[in-house]
Amino acid sequence: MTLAHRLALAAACLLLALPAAAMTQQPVTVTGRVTGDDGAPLPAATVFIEGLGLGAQTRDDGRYSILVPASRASGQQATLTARRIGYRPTSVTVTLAGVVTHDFTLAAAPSQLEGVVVTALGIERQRRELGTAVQSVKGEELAEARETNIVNALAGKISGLEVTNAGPQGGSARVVIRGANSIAGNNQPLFVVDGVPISNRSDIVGGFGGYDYGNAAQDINPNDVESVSVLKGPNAAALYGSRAANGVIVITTKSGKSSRGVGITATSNMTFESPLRLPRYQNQYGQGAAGEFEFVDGAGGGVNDGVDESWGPAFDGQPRAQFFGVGPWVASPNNVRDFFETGRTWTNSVGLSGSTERANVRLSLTNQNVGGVFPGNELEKWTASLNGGAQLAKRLNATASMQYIKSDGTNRPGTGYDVANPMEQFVWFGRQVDIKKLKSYRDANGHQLNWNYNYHNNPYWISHENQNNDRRDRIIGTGAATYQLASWLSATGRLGTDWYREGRKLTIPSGSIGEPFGINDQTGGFFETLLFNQETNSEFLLNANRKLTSVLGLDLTFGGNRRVNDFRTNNEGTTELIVPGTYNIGNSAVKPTVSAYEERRRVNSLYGRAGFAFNDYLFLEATGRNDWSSTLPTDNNSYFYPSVSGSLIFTDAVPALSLGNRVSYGKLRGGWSRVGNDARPYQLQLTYNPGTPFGGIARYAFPNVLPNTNLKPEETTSWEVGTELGFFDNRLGLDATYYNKATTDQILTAQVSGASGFTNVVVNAGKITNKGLELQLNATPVRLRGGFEWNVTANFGKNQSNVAELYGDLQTVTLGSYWSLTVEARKGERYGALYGNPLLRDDDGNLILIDGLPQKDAQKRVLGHFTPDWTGGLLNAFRFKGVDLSVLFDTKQGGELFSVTNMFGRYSGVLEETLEGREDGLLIKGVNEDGTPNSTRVSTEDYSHSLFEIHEPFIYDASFIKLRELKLGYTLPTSLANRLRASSVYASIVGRNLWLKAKVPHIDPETAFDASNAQGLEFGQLPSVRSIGFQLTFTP
Amino acid sequence: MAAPLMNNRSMLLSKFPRAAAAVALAATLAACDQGLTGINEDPNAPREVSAQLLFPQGVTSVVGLLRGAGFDLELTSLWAQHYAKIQYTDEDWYNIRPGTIDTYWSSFYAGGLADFAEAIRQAEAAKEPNLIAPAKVMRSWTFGAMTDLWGDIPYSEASKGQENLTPKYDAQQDVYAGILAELKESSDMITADGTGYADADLIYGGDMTKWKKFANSLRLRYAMRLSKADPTKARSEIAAALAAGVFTSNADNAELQWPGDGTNDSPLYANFRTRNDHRVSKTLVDILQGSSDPRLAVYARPTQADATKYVGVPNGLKSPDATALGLTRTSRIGARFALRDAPSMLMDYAEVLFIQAEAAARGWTTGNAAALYAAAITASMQRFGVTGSGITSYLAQPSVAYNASTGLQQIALQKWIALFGQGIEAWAEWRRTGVPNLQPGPAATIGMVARRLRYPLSEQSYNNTNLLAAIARQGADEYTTRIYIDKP
Repeated sequence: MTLAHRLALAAACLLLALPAAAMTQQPVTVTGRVTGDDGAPLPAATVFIEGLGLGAQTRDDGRYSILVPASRASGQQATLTARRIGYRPTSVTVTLAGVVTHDFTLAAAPSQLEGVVVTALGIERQRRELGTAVQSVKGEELAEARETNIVNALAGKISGLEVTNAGPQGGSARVVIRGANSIAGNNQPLFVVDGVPISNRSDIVGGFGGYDYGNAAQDINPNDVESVSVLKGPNAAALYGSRAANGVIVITTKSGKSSRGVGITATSNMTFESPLRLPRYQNQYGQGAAGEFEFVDGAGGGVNDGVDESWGPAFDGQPRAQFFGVGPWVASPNNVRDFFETGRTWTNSVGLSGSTERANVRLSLTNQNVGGVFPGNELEKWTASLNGGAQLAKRLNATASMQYIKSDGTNRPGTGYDVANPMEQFVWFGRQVDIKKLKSYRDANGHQLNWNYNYHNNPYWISHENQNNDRRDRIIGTGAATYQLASWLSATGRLGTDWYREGRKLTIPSGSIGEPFGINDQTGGFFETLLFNQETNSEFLLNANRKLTSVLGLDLTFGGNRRVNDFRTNNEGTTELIVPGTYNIGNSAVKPTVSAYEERRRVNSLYGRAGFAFNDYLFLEATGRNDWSSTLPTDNNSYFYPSVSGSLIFTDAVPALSLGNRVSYGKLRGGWSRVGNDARPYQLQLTYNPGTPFGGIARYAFPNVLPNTNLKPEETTSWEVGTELGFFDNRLGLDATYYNKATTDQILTAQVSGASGFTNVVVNAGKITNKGLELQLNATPVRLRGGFEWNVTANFGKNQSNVAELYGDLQTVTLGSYWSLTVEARKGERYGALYGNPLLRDDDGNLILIDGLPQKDAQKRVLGHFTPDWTGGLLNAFRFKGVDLSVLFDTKQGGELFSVTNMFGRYSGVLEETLEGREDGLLIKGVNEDGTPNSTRVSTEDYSHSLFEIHEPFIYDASFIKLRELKLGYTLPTSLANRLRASSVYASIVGRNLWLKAKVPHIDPETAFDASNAQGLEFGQLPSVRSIGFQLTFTP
Repeated sequence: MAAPLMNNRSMLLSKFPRAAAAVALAATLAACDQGLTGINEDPNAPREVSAQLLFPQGVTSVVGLLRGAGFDLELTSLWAQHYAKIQYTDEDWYNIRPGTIDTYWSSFYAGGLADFAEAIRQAEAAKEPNLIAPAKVMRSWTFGAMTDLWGDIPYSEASKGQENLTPKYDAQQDVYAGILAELKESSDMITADGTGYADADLIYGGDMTKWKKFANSLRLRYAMRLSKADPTKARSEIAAALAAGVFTSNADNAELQWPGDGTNDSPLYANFRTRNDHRVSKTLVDILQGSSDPRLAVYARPTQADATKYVGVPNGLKSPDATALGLTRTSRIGARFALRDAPSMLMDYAEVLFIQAEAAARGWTTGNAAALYAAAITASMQRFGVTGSGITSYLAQPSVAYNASTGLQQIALQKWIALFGQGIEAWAEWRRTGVPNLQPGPAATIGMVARRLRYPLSEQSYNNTNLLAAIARQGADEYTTRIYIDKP
């Protein structure tokens, strides 16, 4: 309330300072053309008459036209400004009378230091005004070197932004900006599309099986994206709420403003995918144990034929009983690679746009079809997007955008240590198994045919018989109306919603080996999930924008928001059917498993922002927001959070500082903010958990989590300072930021001794600090008269986290665990410690061996951290006449991961390194328990088995460098394009993930089971894909 | 210029209060949204449930854990050398994943014990002794198994929630004293005319007379377990328990019948339907074959390769060595135990008779040790479907027939055999009696058969001070440390 009073007072003061408004007589037309400094027309540039709130976007030919109504044109002087993302804005003063013509030539700002960026609430602002770090990517940069998940497409392009792509195609990507704020809660930024927060929900899958259905933000179609701005610090939280404490990814979709009449663009993109990296296998010894193998029934009836390891006889080409009968004993070197198919991704998009003086609209339709590298896997997505705006009345303007997305997944591969993941059995495998002989996976009697009947299902059975289908229908829509109360005061109402429903069904037929998912092998069974998710934001905004004096401008915003979240899920399934093949709950032979969950949340907010601009070189901004959240106790549910920031263009303020134009642009900026955050719903009351009825007897279990009736909001405090420098006419630009933030009073489900009767208690405790440095370097090393240009963009982000405090005597909070290694937030450590068992050593560091074999040190310790030391990207772009070439490298350096593929691949004897000592054994360097040097030779098989669940040997440096994107494009000369009845034609060859350099053997270090905080774990990684293809864009 | 200025100003002045009013209204609405708190009422789960819903949850939870994949199946029946593993043998040579122990620890305390604690709290508030007593008996049954696993455990301060998040460990001596006192208290409070939990009583269907006998029979079990550590207390407690009334036939056995409906299948069935890792132990098969025990055909299945043969697997082999014995050439665990609706035994009549036989043999009671010994074997045989001459001819064998000079050893051996399917009890008895003479397998990482379980790692993180006090009192936290009841 005090905020409201203060703002009201400020508004009242403003009133008194108003100069007279001018009288108006005749309509005025302002027209012209906007071109780049290379002479090419610039479409989608904005030309704006300052103070009148009137403007237009340029068409494809760079032309614009603005009609000023007679009532508002009186021959007065006005400032006409042209802006485009990536260019320096230019202003002229014109007299509004008759027909005004002005052509603009905009200088490219490859340094990204200047120009327009979209900030909070979709407001386009000059970069120079911003006191905190913001970095943008143009839509075409995301759409061209096509990546199906928009989150992955940001990798390497934004400093301080860390993307982790989880395995399968269509799977989740995790993005974290400036490190983790929350010990165990969400650490990913908020996604906002056209002013509407959207869901980026993803399931926690874990490492023991399941399906990764992806993160919800990947529904956004890159073809419809005009630009992406990344607001890195928490300063935007005043306008977007608590969730922005992790940063905001602001996505603006394309509109129809830039076209006159009807414009059509068609884009077609086709790429081919293949596994980027598969383990290197040994090809000298086949299936079995202790050098022996003979197949009888594949389940232990023969000689080691139940064993799914490759410690069998050496390949000698001699006849031997195998799963298909007697055949020569030879290796199948490519049996894993041959299982995967060449994937193809075909994207076709057509966009229609049109505009008149008073209205504009863009309609687009995109189809994306992915045939996965995993046999039988297909992902299809349709996106229909509508974006329109209209001047409904003299003072009333309305905009609306809507996207409908339908995505279907067919037979996604399972992940983790599970029978549904084909890579699991390739870690346990016989190197002689000829995959082609498994392709017809039924024998003459219709039973499953496989190389092993003890543990695994035929991989083709998994991909073809285990049907796993999902479908999501989603609508993201927003409508807004703005009423111009006065030339300096407007009121906006906006309603936005993100709505989706999703269905998933997994069916397992009869005839499986080992009852996957507990489903009866005689009858089969199924599981089905329905999800419903909706977030609705309704808000109002009052905007006042006014020059107070000739040098001082004031910009005020006051608004309110109500956010409502609604989530529901229903699950049903059965492990046993009456009649095999009918996957309906009515056909369940046993009591079906059913469950349901729903969750609601409401947050009411009031917020305000005041911005001051002095002489266009000094800018100050203050924001404040108060939230009332349903998830906190009534006494504690209101919390206020403020921010301040400022920016100074010192080269404008003191021109002498440009050192004779060597420093063409210099800016200093800084910001401070504090953000409150609420809890997840239902943390305040103790509730009981239903058990399945036991026969006819109902059961309820006492809960494991002790709730907290006194929860208070958690708090993130952050400050940052930065500078933006342009040299040599901005051909060299540097943007540097140092930040420091701390999140305290974390709402934490802390583990406690189970002996208390609870496993966890909900508490307000703990503190994480993050500090770091972000650098962006932009340079144009070469720009020749003939049109050749070479641009370089480098991004660097280094973050240092520290778990400063936890709850009480608690030393650690477990984020996840895998094969008895835990991922932890440990007090005094960097976030994401990998805590596991080392090899047993004496005080001098020698391995202590028993019977010649290494031993596990039962005392666990920190063996690494999944959080990297730094991330970076390097983009080189070359342009000559119609040809452009860009090359993006992306890297993460530092950080570790625990690779269970390496652990079990060694255990099972399939990996290349297990050849060492096969014939003569190994003499492991170390000492016996009595301190004498070891002299006992051991078999490689025994040595490899002895390393099971000793984590240390399988912790690897996760550093990598990837050739993330390569693009070679050609724009047809206009004359040639015209002959094809097109105004422009652009063709390119694109590639993604073409090359990898990593320290970890056998796998891609960019790996995860899901997008949760339990990172740094790997097993049976579904190979990441290398993608090569071409794109054609045709504009009639 | 004056007129437009006035115009403009009046226009704005007229607009401003409207905007201010809208702001004030919005602020009021946001701050005073009375519905906010109501939104956070969890619609998914109730905030109150009755003791009748908690008690069956607690019973199935602790029985499933102790008789199922938690302990008997994967640890304690292996350590008692009733079962052996033929694949994934790690636990059989005492290589145990600490993470699983963390889970079991919490599954006891924050699982069944928490359910019992809340049921008792409600029943005490309602002054319903027939609801209090069964929950206390089940709590004692659970704590008895836990203290036999670890020795000192949190007991008197356990399950107190917010009041005590770091409960102290009680010495095993005190845990035993607490269990014996609580069993007495339970037996005393039961009124035989009531129906207790009625249908929600999954053990006795509300028969309070049987609960009273179960309380006293358990008192007998834990009293005899003190035979070396505190014989005086053992003797007096046994006398008191017998006086209060114990099991008198197999009809009194405390067992949990699994419905076998797909969601609540017997623990062995649930494991064996997908896994083929368990076999009967060679130790057991050799002993049974040595005395032509008819229970062999009940405890074990003939091999798949040769239906006339029963072949046990030695305990404590490395997986490849065990697997090399052949999945089809070794005996799986008896089919009767692997039925989908097979019952889990909590305590049977035979054990009660063996304890009476031992008490008589020790001269603590006036009973006839030989008769009680024969009756105990008979009760065990009958429970497993052996009748008539099968029993008499077995008992007639010289090695089986009771001999006063070796009576305690004979009782101990027969009790170990009869406790098949209750591995944790057989293992606890072996530690007390040393019968049979179990030896660790060749792959064993410790030089003996395990004598206790290590504490879970989670206690180091969340309850370290109390954990260290327990270790200081009891001895190193190792598999080889003897606990209070386990005296050489």
